[in-house]
Amino acid sequence: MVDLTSPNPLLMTHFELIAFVCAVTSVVLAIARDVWRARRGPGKR
Amino acid sequence: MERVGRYGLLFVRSYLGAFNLASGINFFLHVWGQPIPADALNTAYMNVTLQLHLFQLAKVLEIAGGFCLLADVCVPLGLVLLAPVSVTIFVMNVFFSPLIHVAISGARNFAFHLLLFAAYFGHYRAMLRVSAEPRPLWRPETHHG
Repeated sequence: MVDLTSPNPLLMTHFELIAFVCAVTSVVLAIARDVWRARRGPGKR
Repeated sequence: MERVGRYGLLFVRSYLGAFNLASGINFFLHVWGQPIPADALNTAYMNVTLQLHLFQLAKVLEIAGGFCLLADVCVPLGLVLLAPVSVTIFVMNVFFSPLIHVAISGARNFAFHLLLFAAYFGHYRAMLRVSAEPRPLWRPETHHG
């Protein structure tokens, strides 16, 4: 149950947790892709 | 520095997209219980919008807009679709919720939305034209210059 009535200020809803994981994963994948492309050199994909 | 900004924007876009997509899908699939506001006014508002089926419409907008942002497809359109939801949640959470973490959640998503609007501002520039001639869907576009 997503409890928006809980007074716990550290509470993270399921949506916030999913959003955070997705956002971090997206950034990590983007960094990995950039690093991979940089290592392969310019002009290569 | 430019790269950091790009990653930051990617984080914000993915976060807002995934948040809305998860929230919208959850409403229809009932994976988790629907969040219930902590105060009477927001609860009453939620019940009225549910009966008017505007809440359901908002959830469809969340799914469509959230997908656009998360998949990086038609992002400017996705931001427009999500704007009514973000504004409503912002007002409900920040000005009426008695709980600080709920207020922070609404304010954060609204701030992310504004940041993305600013980041994609170039796509909305044409909308700011003071005097706009009709350009109907049914008439072929003529390119000038």
